[in-house]
Amino acid sequence: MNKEWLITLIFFFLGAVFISSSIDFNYFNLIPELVKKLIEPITQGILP
Amino acid sequence: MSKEKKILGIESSHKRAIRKLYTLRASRFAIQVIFLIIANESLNLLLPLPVIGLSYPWTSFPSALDMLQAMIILLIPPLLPLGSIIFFNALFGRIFCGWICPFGFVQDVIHYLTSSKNFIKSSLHSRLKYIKYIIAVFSILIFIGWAYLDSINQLNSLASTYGRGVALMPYTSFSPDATLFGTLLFIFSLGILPNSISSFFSSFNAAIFIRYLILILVLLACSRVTRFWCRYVCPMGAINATFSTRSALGIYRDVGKCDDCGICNKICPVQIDVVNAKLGRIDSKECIMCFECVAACHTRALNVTFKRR
Repeated sequence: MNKEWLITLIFFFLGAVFISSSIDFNYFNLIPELVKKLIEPITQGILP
Repeated sequence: MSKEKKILGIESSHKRAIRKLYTLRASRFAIQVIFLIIANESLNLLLPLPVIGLSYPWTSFPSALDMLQAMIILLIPPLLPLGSIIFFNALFGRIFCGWICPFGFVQDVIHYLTSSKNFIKSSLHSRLKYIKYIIAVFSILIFIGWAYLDSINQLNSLASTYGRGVALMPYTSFSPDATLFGTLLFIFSLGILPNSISSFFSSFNAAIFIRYLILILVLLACSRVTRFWCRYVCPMGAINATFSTRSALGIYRDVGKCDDCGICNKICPVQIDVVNAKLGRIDSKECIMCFECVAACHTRALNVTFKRR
């Protein structure tokens, strides 16, 4: 296996591990709450 | 005569290349529109569309960078956004930029409608393209700095000085895509457009003025230089570029077939020197995987393939 493929595979598995860990942490359900918590305040002061 | 015909010429092999180019563009256009619709919740407020959103319309569908920002500021390990970025870029390179990003789509439309140039002076381009990396690093440092502001009290104090948007979502507050697909659509959808020009300006505050100003300046720049935002400013593009340097999918140049006509260089929207690609592979960091060079190549010297070496 050459170096190019090795780097690609390391990135690929690192990404896969991060995604699978985020499923363990239940991040998919957490994100809508985050969005609401963080983005909602932006409306304050901008909307009449 | 269209821009493409001027670039490609009118020989028969070039005519075939022009047909391929138009077919590719139509396909890419269709996919970009599909993603624009399904990934932009704000549109659902105007039209009854089957969108997938996160139940908040103020921004476009939150990007990985928005989520990265939110999670870092709240001291939550940003595994999902980081994992998605690394995983997809390792496989497909910056295909997100070329085929999915709604703001990329807007820039493509501007390119087709105006006389924006694919080329600026090479020495200037080679310097400017590093700006997006500086912005990306600076943005992440700001997120980390915000995260260590020691509690919500300091965030609140920051919010009272600079506004809550800047305090909690510093990047999203000023990104032109959030303004275009979130703020503006939201304002339209709520029917809260001011009924006169004077009331429009009187409703302005500094934050919203800066947002609109950034959006207008970026759109104007895009009308002069093709994909200006992607090339020189977008921090998401910079992060994608970092992880796509060794992407499995790539564009390769067959030196034996290439007649060095330079059409690929002329058609590339991000000014990559395709003809002089080192070791046959074109620069995967800057390439947005639009495949226009591949379609435009009349000798079929360029191929999209998974790694060959």
